[in-house]
Amino acid sequence: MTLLAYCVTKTSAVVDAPLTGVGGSPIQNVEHGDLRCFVSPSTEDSPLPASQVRDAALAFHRVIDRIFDQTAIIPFRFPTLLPRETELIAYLAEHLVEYRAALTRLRDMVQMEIGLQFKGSTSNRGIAESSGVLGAEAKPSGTAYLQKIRARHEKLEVAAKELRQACLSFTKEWRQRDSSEGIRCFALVERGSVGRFQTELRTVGIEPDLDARLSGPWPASQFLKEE
Amino acid sequence: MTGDHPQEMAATSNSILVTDPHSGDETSLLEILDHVLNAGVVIRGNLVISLAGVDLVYVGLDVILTSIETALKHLQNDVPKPKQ
Repeated sequence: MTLLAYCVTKTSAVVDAPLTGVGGSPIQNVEHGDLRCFVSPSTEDSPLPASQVRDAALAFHRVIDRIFDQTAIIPFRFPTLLPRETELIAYLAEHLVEYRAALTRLRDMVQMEIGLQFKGSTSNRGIAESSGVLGAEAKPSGTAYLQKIRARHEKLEVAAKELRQACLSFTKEWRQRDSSEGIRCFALVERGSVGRFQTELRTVGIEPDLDARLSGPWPASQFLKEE
Repeated sequence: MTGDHPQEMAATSNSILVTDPHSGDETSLLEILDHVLNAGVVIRGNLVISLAGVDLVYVGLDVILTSIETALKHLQNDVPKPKQ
């Protein structure tokens, strides 16, 4: 029987999991050592219709969110399907030490995310057009394009640094990476400090041509590995 | 963490938009879908997606699952090119 895997917790965590998950299938536990994985049965005879992916993904999220409300979790991406329970147990065995350590370290932690980008621009094509790379008067624009890309990135980096500085006292760890739209920042925050973290960030001034969007709390999936 | 969430759906201050994943608005839905499909650990497994009763995707145990979108990319790359 194929299993849809939702997330991993420690067996010591007392969790009131939802009764049903994606497609109304019952939520079950698979345990190995001190790890518990929440799954629901899924039959290969009835594959996921593409038209229902969104609803299924949201149902998946609801299960994860309910469990995450109660304890630290390691979420699986949707859809993670395994053909048999034995393969899930083998996976848990392979990652037992790593996941145990992560769940202990992240026990009282959540992940807050900040997306930073320029207003009204989501791709480098817009920069190319405004630099003249695309279009008739394109001749001197290669260097201009690269300079503009670099200047924009530097501006985003400065904004990210200011945000990080503003919430330093509530942040246990900070990671960031470039995305196609700009920069994504991830802050590891204690569960009890989320409200203060949000309040603090609301006071930060952002350059008028930038957008900053804060979301969370999320499972601390960006912090599973120590750096 | 219900107690940590602001009750309003979203608030702006100095250009920072604070979104609440529990608010149910469109922005939050997109954030949730982005997380569900792109965050979290990956594992080897099987995936079948069907459209109009036709199975479009079958990803075997040798392909790392990431998300539907990524899985589709894997599959498109794996599909043999038609002979000229």
